[in-house]
Amino acid sequence: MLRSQRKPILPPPPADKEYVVIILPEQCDGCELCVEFCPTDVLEIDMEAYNSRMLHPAIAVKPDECVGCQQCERICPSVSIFVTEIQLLQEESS
Amino acid sequence: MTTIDEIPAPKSTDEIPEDHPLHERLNLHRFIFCPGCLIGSAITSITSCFVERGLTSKDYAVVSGIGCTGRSSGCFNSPAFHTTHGRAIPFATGLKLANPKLEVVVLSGDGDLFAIGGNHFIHACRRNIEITVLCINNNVYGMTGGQCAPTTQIGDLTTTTPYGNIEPPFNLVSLAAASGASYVARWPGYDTLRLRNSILKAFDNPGFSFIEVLAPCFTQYGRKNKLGDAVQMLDWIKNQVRIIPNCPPHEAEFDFKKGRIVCGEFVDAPREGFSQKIQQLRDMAQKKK
Repeated sequence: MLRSQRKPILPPPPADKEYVVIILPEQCDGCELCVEFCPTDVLEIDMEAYNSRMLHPAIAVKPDECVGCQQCERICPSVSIFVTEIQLLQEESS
Repeated sequence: MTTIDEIPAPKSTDEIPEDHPLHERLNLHRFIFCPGCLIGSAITSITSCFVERGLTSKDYAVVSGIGCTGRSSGCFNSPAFHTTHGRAIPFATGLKLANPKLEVVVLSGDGDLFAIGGNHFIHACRRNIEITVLCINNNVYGMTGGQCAPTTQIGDLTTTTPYGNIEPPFNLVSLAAASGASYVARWPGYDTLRLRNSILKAFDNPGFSFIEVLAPCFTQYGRKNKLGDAVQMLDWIKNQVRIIPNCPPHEAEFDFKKGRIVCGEFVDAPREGFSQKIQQLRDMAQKKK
């Protein structure tokens, strides 16, 4: 490759989007699949909370570290978790 | 520690919030599967593929048989049909021939499609009917109590084989490819991205598409064979999966003893479908009059 065509290898630019995980605790089965599949360990099972079916729902303990990969949304067998952008939520509420 | 008195009283089912992006397409009160079973994620994968293709609920239909996976037809708000045991593919054939524009998906288990409905399956492959068949393979009859299925491996313990199974199992991929299906793939159920791309490819394929999804049953199979809970069983199956591109279908091994499950796309050879041929025949017969 020509020297003039080379591009410097730079660190990736900072993410301009912020994501938020929304959990529907009434629908959650507490199966821990989302906890297992999250790459940044955002989620945990809340052992002190119960839903109406007497199951422990998941909870986002480190919501700032979500990278928006949507792995939890795709793997969830009970359709109880999804990921959106914070900007979209703010537009809806306003 | 919370005592029983502090637990809040159960709320009525009307209070379930319906914010999920798929809540219009799915009936969220009907998800009755064991916690951690991958049938639920297969259902959301199919539904999100419908959304991605821009199909409204009048453009597709889901047909399912009997069993754990057979219950999944109740989860859809679109036209869905819970048929008799093993007869999911004949009902889907009738739907497709009556309305060739409809996108018909058969979602059923291995016991339903290959034990009692095996004959229907091989003849649908031979005719190359334009339907997409998703087989959720859990190697056991889950709902009826964990009996030995035609996909149970040699030596596995089930309720009806307490000293180990002695019958060699079906290899579903090789069976479908030998019968003449024009798209055959096998994916582990946790690999949702590849599974979605495969379902989208199956929608585009003009002919019979067969996708096998590995979703291990921890309630019946894992308990009898001492393989642990849902997460441990997914780990167990993840160590055996080998994804090999362009693998010929007769080399698609599925063996828990060897610890080798070959996944990937095995056949991708589109050919003319059955409803197109029927239309050609109809036109030809009308010209002769």
